[in-house]
Amino acid sequence: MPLISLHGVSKRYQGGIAALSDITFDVEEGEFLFLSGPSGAGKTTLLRLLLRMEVASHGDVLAFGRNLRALRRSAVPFLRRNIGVVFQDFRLLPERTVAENVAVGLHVLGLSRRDIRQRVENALYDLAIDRYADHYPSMLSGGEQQRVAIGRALVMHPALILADEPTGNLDWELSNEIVRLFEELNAKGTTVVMATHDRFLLDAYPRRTILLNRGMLIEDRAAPKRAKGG
Amino acid sequence: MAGNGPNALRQGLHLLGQGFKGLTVSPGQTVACVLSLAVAGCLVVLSASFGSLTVDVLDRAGRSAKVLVYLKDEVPAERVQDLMTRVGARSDVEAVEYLTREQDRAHNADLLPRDVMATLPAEAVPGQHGLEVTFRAGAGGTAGIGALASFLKALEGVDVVAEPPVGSGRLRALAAAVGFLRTVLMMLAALLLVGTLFFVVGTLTRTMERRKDEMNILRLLGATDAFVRAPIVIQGVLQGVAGLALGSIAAILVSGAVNAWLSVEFDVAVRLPAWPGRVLPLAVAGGLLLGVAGAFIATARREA
Repeated sequence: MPLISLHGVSKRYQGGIAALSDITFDVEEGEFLFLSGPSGAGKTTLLRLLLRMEVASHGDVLAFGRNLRALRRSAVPFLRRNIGVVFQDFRLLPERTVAENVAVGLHVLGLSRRDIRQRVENALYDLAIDRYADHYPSMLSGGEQQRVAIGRALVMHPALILADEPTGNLDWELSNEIVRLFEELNAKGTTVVMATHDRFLLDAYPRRTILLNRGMLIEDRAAPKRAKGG
Repeated sequence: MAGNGPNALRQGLHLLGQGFKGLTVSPGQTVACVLSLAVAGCLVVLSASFGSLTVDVLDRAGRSAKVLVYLKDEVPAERVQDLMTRVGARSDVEAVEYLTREQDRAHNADLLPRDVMATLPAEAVPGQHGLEVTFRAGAGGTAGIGALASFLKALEGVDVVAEPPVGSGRLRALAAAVGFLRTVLMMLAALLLVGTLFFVVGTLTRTMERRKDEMNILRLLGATDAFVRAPIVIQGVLQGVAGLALGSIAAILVSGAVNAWLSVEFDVAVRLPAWPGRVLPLAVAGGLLLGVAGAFIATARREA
């Protein structure tokens, strides 16, 4: 069974503006998928549907075997605990240290202090930012801040990572670092869905790519066999 | 916020810590909020306290209303006994006592100036035997005393029924008025408390504004609504309980000081009640309610 499944999904906002029209595709467990397309193509709306921040106007969105349209509000947090989310603008808490930012979600799980410290230390080490544990986000570069944001998602041990233009604010070198990081996570079995409009990245990392334009699925390009699944 | 026992406990402690942290988000506003709650709480207790004392004093004064019934000189002792039995049988009469001529003379002598008394022989001061009838409290007010006086006047052997003591009925009416005033004052103080609720809401809204990003991130990381809201509720409850408890303690201290001052300066037995055994638990319960209500309004406003 696919990890994510969309069947004839449309999303219309008030005033009849169509953000997505009749989108159908599946994402298998352990897959790495790029969502591509110009600004306003519907990439972010699609990710918001997967996070159940919004509900599709038509069609079904299934994730982890559950129909998100029918999901009760009280069940949404438990869905999200399986999903790590990374944004273009990092969304770090400026008054918290790097370690505190990474740990922020772990309190939700009710872990012990020791477990939280262990998970945070491991994540910071894996992301090579352990020396910044006591720094504040403003003291870090954009690439380092994005690593912190990825760390915040990773410590929750998600089965799926949704990244919305995570390299949008980074230069080419840092963008490569971030995508390589996602590749490493994918190689360990985490499913990654990354939205980007950076054609150079898409060329440099040949993966399955869903191309959207004006809310419609234009192309579902399969990954070359050697790169599929990490 | 689902989880097993230890996890739930850890979550609870974490949320409690976050609630305390919320108090420092806007310290000036928090202090102003707690102080305004304290003032309102103190006013509620003191208005109830002063009102109760006044009502009590006036009620006691009204209760001690006595009617003097002077008997004709020729009324014999057996007739006096009979009169006492008949009057004492009435439901509006608390007690009947016999007043001898000497007692009445001594009473009248007390009313005259000392220099006048010094020039008069003792037998010059008038004295007449009679009955001292104590009116029962709550037996009909001014009209009730009037009816009793009419009954007494009609009795055989009665010479004069002295007018009921000055304003005993009025005192009772005044006590009722003060009781009403006490209720009004308490309602005004309670309204002040409701006003301070908006102070609580304002402080909590400020905290929510400052922690908006954190709350959004927490929701995306799988925090339940209860987990996100709990620190706000805890902060509201802490403010509410701290404010009202502080106000109640202040009221207890003020009433204690007033009692001490009354005792030293005037040597009076009346005491301003403060009911610490009831006020403090009520303050905690009220603070809890106020905090929860404030948090509910603040979160509902933000989500609207």
